Amino acid sequence: MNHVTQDDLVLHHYGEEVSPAAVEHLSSCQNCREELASLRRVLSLVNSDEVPERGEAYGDDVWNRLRWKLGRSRTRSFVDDKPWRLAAIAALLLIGFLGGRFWDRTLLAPAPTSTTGNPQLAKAEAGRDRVLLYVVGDHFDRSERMLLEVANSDRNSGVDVTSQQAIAEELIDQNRIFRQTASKSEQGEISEVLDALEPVLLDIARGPSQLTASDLQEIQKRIESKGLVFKLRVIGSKVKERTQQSLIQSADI
Amino acid sequence: MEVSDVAVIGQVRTGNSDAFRTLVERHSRAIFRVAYRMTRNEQDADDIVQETFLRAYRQIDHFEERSSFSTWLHRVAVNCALDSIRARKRRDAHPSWNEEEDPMDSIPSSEPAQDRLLMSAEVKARVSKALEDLSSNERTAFVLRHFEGMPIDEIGRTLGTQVNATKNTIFSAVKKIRTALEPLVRSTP
Repeated sequence: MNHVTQDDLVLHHYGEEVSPAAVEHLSSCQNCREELASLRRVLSLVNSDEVPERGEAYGDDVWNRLRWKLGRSRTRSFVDDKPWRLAAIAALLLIGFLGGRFWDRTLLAPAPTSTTGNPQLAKAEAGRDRVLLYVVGDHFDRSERMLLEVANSDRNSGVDVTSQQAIAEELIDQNRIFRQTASKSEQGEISEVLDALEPVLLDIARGPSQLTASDLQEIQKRIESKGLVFKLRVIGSKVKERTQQSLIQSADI
Repeated sequence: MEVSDVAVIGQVRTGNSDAFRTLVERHSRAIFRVAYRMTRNEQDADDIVQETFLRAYRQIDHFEERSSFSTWLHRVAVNCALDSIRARKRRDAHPSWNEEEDPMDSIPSSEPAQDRLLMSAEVKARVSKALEDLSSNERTAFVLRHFEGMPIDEIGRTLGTQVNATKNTIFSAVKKIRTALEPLVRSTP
């Protein structure tokens, strides 16, 4: 028999199946045994590859960052039902707006009659903006994850997008509310991303559940051409930063 | 006595999300290791750990109790890492530091090892570079086989490739690693 191939040596090293003839040859051929030993020496060097150490408390750290997300992703509350969810979001935005007005009414001097340069109205709008920033950040996260799942599906075969459709359907209604609010609040960047996102959400939600390879490629092309995932991530991080700043400012008041 | 993963999963399924903490504490370091080895990036690996547990939590009803939770979780992690690698490829227009020329490459491999510490550092640098230079598919397949001990057919299922294609990916990875590291083996007394 010829010498054992390199590929068979690799399989043999990893305990995978090789032909009985190869095993027999290996036991009697000095050259092949040396070749196997050389392979093993090289692969044992790879074991020196170091992974940065994560301490005993790492699990705790992971859990602390994770736990608040779990509550929303598995435990169902009344807000998980679509009509309630939308009503709750609309109510939050309204409370933010009215809360700002009330805050002003109690703490500021009587408002001027003109709405232009009206500090009460400005404060109310700031309240609404804070709520918008808070809820839209989560909306961006969910949208990004769903789009990534679609964008990363194997473009050469069909795919079942039933679960992504259910998420897209929920996101559409929220997207509309946020887009309108962002537009009123003159949050140009946010409004622009929400504008670009909506038709893609519609495409996914209202299209077939079983996408053929060409359907999938079409949607992937739309996601990529708009750079949606990238925009969601960039604007999403800005939103998170602004939310934190806003919370710090609120705490300072 | 330690409660089994399956028993903990049972609690999570009945709505006790705090029980999930036990699984996070048990498996997060192992998941970090596989994520780091696949991405070679600490920050990405931390993000992958988060995403892995989030996905696992959401899909916990899909976990079949006859299989090992650790294996299932690793598969989820590998998918998260692959997503992360693809996303990074798309958004990285510029080469990262680890794709640039490694200054250690200029050191002749046959130089006598006068200082074992330096030699050891060189070996580590070379190993790291050899793994970084693999394609993402090669690295994933190799990491799963070499470090995680996952059987080739299981790797194929995870990567969505046929057994023969998976084998070829591993062969190609090993070949590149041998080319990169063999001089070190020859020069090491």
